[in-house]
Amino acid sequence: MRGETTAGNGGLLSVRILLISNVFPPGFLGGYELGALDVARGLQRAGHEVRVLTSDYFPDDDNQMPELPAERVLQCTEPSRALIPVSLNLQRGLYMNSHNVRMLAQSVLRFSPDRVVCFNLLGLGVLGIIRYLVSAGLPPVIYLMDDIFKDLRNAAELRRRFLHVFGNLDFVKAADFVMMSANLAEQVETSLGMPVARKVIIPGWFNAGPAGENRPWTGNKANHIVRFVYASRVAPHKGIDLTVDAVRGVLERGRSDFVVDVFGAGDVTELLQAVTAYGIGDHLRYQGCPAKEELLLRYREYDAMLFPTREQEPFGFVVSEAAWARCIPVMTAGIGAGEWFLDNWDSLKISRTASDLTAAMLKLLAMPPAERDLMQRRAQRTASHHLQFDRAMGTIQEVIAQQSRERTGPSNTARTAELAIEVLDDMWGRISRV
Amino acid sequence: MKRNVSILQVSPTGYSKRSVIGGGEKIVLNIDHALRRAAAELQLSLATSILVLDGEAATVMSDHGIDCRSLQGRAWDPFSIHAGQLIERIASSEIIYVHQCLCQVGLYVAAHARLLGKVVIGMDAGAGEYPLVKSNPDVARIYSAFHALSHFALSAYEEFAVPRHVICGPVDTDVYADSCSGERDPKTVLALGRILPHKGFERIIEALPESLTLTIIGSPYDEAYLAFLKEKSAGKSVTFLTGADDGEVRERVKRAGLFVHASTHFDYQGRYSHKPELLGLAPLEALSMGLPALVSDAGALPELAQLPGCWCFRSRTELSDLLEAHRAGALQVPPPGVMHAAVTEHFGLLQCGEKLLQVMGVC
Repeated sequence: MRGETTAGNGGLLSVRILLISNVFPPGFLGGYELGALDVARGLQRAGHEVRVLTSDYFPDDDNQMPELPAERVLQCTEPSRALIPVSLNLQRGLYMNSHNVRMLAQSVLRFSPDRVVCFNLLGLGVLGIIRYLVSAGLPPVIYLMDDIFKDLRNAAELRRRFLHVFGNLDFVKAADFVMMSANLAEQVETSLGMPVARKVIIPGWFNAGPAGENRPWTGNKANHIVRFVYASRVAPHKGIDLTVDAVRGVLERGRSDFVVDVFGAGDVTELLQAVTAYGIGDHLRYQGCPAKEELLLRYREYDAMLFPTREQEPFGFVVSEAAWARCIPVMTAGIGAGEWFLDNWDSLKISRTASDLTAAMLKLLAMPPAERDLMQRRAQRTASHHLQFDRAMGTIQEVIAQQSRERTGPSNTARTAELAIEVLDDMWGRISRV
Repeated sequence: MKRNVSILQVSPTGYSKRSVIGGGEKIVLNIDHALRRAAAELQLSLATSILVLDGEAATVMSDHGIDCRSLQGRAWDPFSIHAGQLIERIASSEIIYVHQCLCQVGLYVAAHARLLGKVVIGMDAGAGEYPLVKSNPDVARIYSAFHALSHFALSAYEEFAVPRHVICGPVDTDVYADSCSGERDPKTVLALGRILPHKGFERIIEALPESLTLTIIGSPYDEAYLAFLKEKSAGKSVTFLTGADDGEVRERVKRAGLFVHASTHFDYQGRYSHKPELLGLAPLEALSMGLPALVSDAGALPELAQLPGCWCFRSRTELSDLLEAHRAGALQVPPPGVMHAAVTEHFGLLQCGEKLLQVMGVC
């Protein structure tokens, strides 16, 4: 601990923070790693020394972010460039990867962090990393934007064998959890099979505008036909299929004064083929995958965002970002972001069906412009009041500071804790092959 | 009282007829006694207990009131032990002393203790090394320190970057005390130990003069070897006493004229044993009771030759010569009290307990 406590900075001044994530920009797959990047930069701006430990999924040959040192030495099974068998993915990705624990010990020895903040650990050997950190006297802050423990619910025999050798999951209780929603917290507790006492809810934020200043945009929306935006992974679990069906549904009901622009990566080929097959190319347009900064500005062009994602969605950063741009969120009821918005006031909440999404789109099409404008402004107000990045950063730093005050438990040297885990991993590997 | 300390010894096997009656198991009890004795001397508040991983070892034989419990499992099989139960048992102690520390189950216990942030002391009593220790000697660093029962035992830890400490013993010299009562029979030679090939009992039988009688006391763990010994005994005065308890053994030691411990690195079938003796508890107990002893040059046994009343033989001829000298009354046997005092000083409970507490960082 190098810093002294001070007010106005979450009680912390200049500490060394090791940030762990399975994938880390400049390459990214979704909001989780972009969120990790936001936090890393936020902590740097607050005066902390930050180092990233991640996998080589995105090699970053050009060292695009020299200001944020990252070691890309971890092995990741999900996502992975290799086709990993499910059983190995569970064993090495969810439970234990001794190579990663070894690399982590090396980082701890070299960097000597005061704090460790874990983002998406899935694919890295989630439990091994947490077990190690707790034993090494560095109980982490685990920042959950997804239920990284969800596979504990599957493969009961593997879980039984793991617990037989490693004992129990009580070590997880030593960590501090930051979760994006109550919805996510419930999922995580179900997966772990125990309540998580040390948790804080920090909603997904928007971090937009020049230099992330987040000044609300007050310009006028263009006077044009109603424009919807879909900006997520182009995949069924995010609702792209429902969106296609809803576009067809709205057209079948005689309304054609709208467009849906789709941004994102994923099953783009399948999407384009479906658009051609259904002849809806005038109303559903694929717009590519622009950089996030550009996308945040482009949201302003739209009246509403379609987000018919799965009910288990932990939050949905795009909702906050869209709301800030006065884009009405049309989202699945029950998702994390929905905990901050009211149906028919600053958003529309739907059951996850094509007919409900169709109905919501028709409602917005039929809505008088003044009423729609009012709903858009309410959405922006909600975002401004609750979902700003700076507010989130303040809370994150409070959690980190609180952890330092309460830090207890075993304090093994970095390497001996790793070796102890290696012994148990060897035995678990043997029992798993029985 | 200076401070409260809790020490737990974990052993794969227990000193029990349902587990193993051997020196390695008895040492567990002696160490417990040594620690408590030293703590009392140093005015430390110390709680000691023993955890046996062999669920069969329900009853542990002991001369002292010792808190000894067992886990449901099989002695040498870590997979038969549920880690949750193990963690529960070791969580409340600050210091975990792991017996058979380099075998698989020993490493398993040590790894859990290390992850709980305990001080972890390891001791090898001859159970061998798990291959991981060979492929990655670094794993030995999960131990805070190693305890070697003898200078010879130190060799087990040679390649590890972990502090090693030779602390000889402990022998329970309170129980194995010099006794002036009763007459010794100089014609009775005593040999004691598990009836296993590396104990080399046949070497005593072969060298036994006609005028002496030999009593071999021990639990038979190798039927073929026992049959071999009985065959070898034909025409000689040799008796086998199996299943004797410690009290009965002490009575025999009180009456015997000589103790012989003939362990060997090469058994009767030419098989090699790396560590036939890491201490030599049986001859030490005999010496502590004033019974002179002959010991072979296997393992740690030559280290006992420093003690008054103890002679080391390096060949069958030397053993024959020493037995003949004993028969003829030519061995210069010191007074029993001198022998007992020497064992107490170099191998006794207090010296061992104090040094162990020092290694553990308690004092």
